[in-house]
Amino acid sequence: MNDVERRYRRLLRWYPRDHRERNGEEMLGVLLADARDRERPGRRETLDLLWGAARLHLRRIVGVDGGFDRRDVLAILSLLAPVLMLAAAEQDLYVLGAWLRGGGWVTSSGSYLASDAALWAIWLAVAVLAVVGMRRVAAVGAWLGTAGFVQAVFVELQDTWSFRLWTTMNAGWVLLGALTAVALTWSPGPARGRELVGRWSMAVLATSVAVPLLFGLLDGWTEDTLFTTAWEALLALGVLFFGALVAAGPWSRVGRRAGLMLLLPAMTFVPVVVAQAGLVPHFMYSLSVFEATIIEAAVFAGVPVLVVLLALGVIPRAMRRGRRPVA
Amino acid sequence: MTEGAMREPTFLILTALAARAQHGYGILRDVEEISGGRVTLRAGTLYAALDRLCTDGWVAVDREEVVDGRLRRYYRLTNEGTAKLEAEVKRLQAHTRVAAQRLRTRPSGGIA
Repeated sequence: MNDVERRYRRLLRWYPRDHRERNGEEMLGVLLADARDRERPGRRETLDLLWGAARLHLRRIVGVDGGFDRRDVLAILSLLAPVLMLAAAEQDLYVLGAWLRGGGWVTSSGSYLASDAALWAIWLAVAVLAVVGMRRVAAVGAWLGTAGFVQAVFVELQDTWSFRLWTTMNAGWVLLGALTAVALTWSPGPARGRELVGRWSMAVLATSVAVPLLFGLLDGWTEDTLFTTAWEALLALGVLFFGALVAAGPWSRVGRRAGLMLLLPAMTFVPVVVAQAGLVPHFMYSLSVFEATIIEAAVFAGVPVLVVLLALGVIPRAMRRGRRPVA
Repeated sequence: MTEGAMREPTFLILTALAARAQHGYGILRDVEEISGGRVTLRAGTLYAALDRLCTDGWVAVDREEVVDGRLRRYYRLTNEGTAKLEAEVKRLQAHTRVAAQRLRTRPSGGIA
């Protein structure tokens, strides 16, 4: 092996493993043929190889692997995500249950409910409009609803650690709200989404959304705490997100990707578990409310996105591994 | 919703494969010839494009050979790739036709 070959091999190490295994030797042959009498890779060639490697890594991470129409993924989301968003009302339904019963929360929860009711009225309208196919109006509503969520979750700063944790847990719903608005604005629309997932999918999703909402209302009515036991929470959220996955149609490539994105709110539980395990960095406690909220917003919104992107990247990578070159 | 215009390297790679299957180095040289020396593709750009075109099903591996101890893989255009190239050629022809007509109607001159 001469010096130039060694240098090219070193550059090729930057490429994703599956690409190196399939195309590494072939690329090396092309590079050496093109190098002719050069003793080392040129500057432009080096940059071109590094840029090529970066593009292939990015393609794997964000799952931009082609073979499916990304607008179809958005079309499924434009149909299902508005309905799934309604499940986030479980906490308000819990307060509503307690309020209807006339429990100890009555005085304070009356105003709390009034401020959130407008937000949920918007999201309910968005869901109905999306289902009946009025996507443009639904899109406007979704952007308004997302702005309302951002205000409620990140801007209305709370004073105590526990309450901030509780509110940032909803960051996943904010992300799904934004994704819903994007899907309704730029996808082919819910009608195309229905063609892809079939007519039973909406019934599956609606039933799944009803479960946590019912739990919320009943827990409030019985003056219990929301999700009295961990099992109850697991059951309610398990049914919700399993239903969302099934509704998206996991048997197709676009369905699997749409289903994964519908799981965004569930991903928020990763940093929640970390926080509850006492793994919060100590310096966080010495920060101001504003500083800590900015960091929390970044973590609680960033981790779900990262998890989804990585998971999207795993699918094409696994498929590439299974596709060996012709012998 | 309409599809966007094809990027120039993609168009040139598909054109290089339109008449016959070619290996990586052959594509690089052919692209240079097709573009009259204006476009010089490098291996990093070529293989990033081939990775995408193979995944999209526009290009497929035709055969492999070992020449002087080195692997040489030949790529060919698939039916889907052929259809995409034909569509792009028609789109470009339509645009150039209109552009030529408009230039001819300019009061201060036209195309040669």
